[in-house]
Amino acid sequence: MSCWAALGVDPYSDQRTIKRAYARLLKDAHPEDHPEQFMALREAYEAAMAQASRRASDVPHRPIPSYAAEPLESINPRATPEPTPEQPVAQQADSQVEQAEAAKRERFNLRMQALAEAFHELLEDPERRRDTANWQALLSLPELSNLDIRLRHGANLLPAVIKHLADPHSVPLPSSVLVLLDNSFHWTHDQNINWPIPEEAMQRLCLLMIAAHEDLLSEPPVTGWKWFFRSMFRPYGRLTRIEYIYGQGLVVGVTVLLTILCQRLALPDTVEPYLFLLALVALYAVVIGQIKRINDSGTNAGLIFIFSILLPFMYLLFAMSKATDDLNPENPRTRFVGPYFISLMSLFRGGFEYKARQRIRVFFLSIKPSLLWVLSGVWILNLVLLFIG
Amino acid sequence: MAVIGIDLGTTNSLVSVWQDNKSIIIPNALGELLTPSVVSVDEKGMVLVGRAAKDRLVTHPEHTASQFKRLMGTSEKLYLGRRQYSAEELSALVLKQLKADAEMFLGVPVTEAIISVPAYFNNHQRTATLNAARLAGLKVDRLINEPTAAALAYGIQEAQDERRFIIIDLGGGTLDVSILEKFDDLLEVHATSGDSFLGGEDFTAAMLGAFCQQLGFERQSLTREERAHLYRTCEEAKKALADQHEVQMTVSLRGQQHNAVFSRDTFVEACSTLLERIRLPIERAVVDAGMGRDDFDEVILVGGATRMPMVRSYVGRIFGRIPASVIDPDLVVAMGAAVQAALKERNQSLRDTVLTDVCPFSLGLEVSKHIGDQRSPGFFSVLIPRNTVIPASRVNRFYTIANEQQRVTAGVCQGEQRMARNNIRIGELVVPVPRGLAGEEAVDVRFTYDINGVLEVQAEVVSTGKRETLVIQNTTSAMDESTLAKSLKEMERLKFHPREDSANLALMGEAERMWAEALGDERVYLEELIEEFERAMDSQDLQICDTARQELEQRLARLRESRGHW
Repeated sequence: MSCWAALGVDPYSDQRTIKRAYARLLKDAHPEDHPEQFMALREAYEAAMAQASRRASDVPHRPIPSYAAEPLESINPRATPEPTPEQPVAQQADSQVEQAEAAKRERFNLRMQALAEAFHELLEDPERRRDTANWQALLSLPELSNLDIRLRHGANLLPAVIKHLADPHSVPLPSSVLVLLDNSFHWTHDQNINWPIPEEAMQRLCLLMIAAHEDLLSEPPVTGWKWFFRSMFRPYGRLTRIEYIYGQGLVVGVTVLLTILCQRLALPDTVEPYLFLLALVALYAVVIGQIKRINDSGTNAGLIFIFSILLPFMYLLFAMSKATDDLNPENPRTRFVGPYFISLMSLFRGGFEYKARQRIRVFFLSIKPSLLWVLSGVWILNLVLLFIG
Repeated sequence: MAVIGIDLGTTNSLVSVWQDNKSIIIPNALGELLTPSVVSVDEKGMVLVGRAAKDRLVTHPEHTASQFKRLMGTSEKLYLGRRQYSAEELSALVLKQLKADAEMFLGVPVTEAIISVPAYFNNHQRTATLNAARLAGLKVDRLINEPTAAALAYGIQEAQDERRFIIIDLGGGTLDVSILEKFDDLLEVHATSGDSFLGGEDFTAAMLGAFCQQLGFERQSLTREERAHLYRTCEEAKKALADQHEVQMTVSLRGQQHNAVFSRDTFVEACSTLLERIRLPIERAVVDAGMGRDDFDEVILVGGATRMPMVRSYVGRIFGRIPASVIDPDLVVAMGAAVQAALKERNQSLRDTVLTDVCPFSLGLEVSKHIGDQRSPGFFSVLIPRNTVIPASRVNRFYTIANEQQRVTAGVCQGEQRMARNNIRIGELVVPVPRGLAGEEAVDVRFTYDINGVLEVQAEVVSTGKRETLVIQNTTSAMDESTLAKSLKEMERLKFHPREDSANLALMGEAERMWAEALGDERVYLEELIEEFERAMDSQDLQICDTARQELEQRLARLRESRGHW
């Protein structure tokens, strides 16, 4: 039975007639008493309404909601709309209203276009797009507090973001930015919304978002030099690649520094033997700490072997440290690359590989300036001392 | 036998009944329509509910609980004195009180009720509400969504044939938005959305924060008594700010009296983020209903918190018109619940009206999907999308994902997120299937969501025709049968104050609360008054009690007058 027959109306009736028939039939198919009949009726009603509205869709769209339409000059001065031309006073009030209405719509469209451009510009700027604050500034514009408008911009931006994620030559958006965008535009939050991208890309994005959230959660909150020293000399836990490389730099740096100091101070009989002793102890602590941490990471057996010949005492420390058999890739401290990056590579860029170039790139991207200062400070001191010597 | 309607609110609760072709709100023992949803246990282990308990929030915060509706559906417990209470039990105590009021008013025992819940309450929260009703000895067949109830109260008296309205219900603890259409005698809900953790109490809390800042107090350093005292003062001031632009606030903290003037502008500023949060659910509902902001004949505000001028003007700005609230916003939900009770009974006067509601959340299964050459679990596959008219029944086919798979296990989830882990898991479906290659065996899963909010999940193995059924009823999860029986027994052991005492107790509570808030001479004076009244109550003579009560009432009224509001 067709939906028209079920409703008892002529095929291709208008929405009003369908509705009236539905309301009439509902009396006998009360949802409480006859749920089965009701469901059948409802199905017919929805099918009929869908057909009727498809035919009615030639009628112009309802106007764009004009609420929250505030000036947008602040973000894109070039797109400032032209002031509307003066209306001749003699004209009919009717057409005046109409024109004002049209001008308003025009202005609104221009603003929306400017905003969309601003989003795309930001996405294409490799420097600025890495900073969450830039995105935050755009997203907190008053226009975007309107859900309808925000969803439209989200739909506009999403294909470009997907394209960017799949581009193997670009440095990916940081996970924090992606999470911010997703939270603002509800990309993966609402399965009722259809976005203008293939379903499979959406699914990949969903998986990527999970990894991005994980990445945010497991990221150490501060990666300045204080965090670095704490992580270097912590008696437990494991090492990430960054910590390891920094540690290497520090060990070599301190060793060189102490050697130069020893030479210059003409030790041990002339001045302050306790200073020398202290320096030796410090060196020993740094080296031992570093070795222990390397050992905990369970990745550099060869290096440990070399060091262990030099420093047999470290076995004492190994005996005290935690066993490394519970090494697992989920543990953030054993990761050398974040889950977000791995997911991004395997979901969008054709597989994740441990290429040296990628590793180096990820590493350099992660360096914080304050940490660089600490390391370069040690080395500059070395050079200065060398030159003076 | 009458079926009552109950509005179990975060701040206040009401009970109503359909009589003489209209809804009547039943007054409580004190003759008031609103019963504060506050429970307190006194020194003798007796339970107090309502206004008497509310005053004890200031004097005995350790023995008093309020706003427990917000904890519904969680396992969190509250201590009242020595005993722990769950949110269900506390709600049950309030329901018991309301039931007693209704029985007194109607003169017949009441066993059946319709309870209104926020439309955006999830499955767990609804279950908890039903459990509370069972603990209170009420049979509840139907939970009605609060905005739908409000629409009923409005829709019934609406004469015109074709109207569309949007109802924004900002109560004490929850925000609900519903879009309805009235067409002939059909009242159809088009879309529902909301925020379960936004309400009038949040505005009071925001005001408390701003007020503390103004006085230069650390909010964390306040004791429970002090905070309760401040909170009460803020609540009074919030109500006063609905009519005036400035309010004089007097609080006594740490033995000192502080005076401050709080203006409406400061209040608006303190609540700006809360106001912003009203916008999203409204827009979501409008988008879901496929309408524009000008498509509505009326914007209706419901709930006590919509008395605040800033909420009215904010909603007014969104829709570009002045919102309506013809019926008292505090009473309208309870009135609607009574209408629903009458509809359910097929009361003659209402026979022709048909109400269709929608399910507020999407329902579906957790499934694996193929992405490229990989298989990834955890996707949410929707069977019944949100805002589907209920009752509804949908079916979908799912395939096995591994060779030699012996059973299909899928979590049943409720929510809007694309990944199942971010939604609420409400059950699990396990179907044994014959072994075979991956994708060879299939299971047809049917979701049936009936008008009472019960979800039935049916699975049929395509090759064998074997069936499995899982009913996720509103009565299983969270609190199982044995705990329910246990707490039912414990509830029976709790003693209530006799009904005749309620006026005395409420007055006593008020006097004690004023004593706690007063300083110096006033305090001594109040102490004398309280002692006098206690003596009168101890005499057990009704006559003496009544005179003493009237006397005390007058004196307290005079005291209050000297201070403005108190």
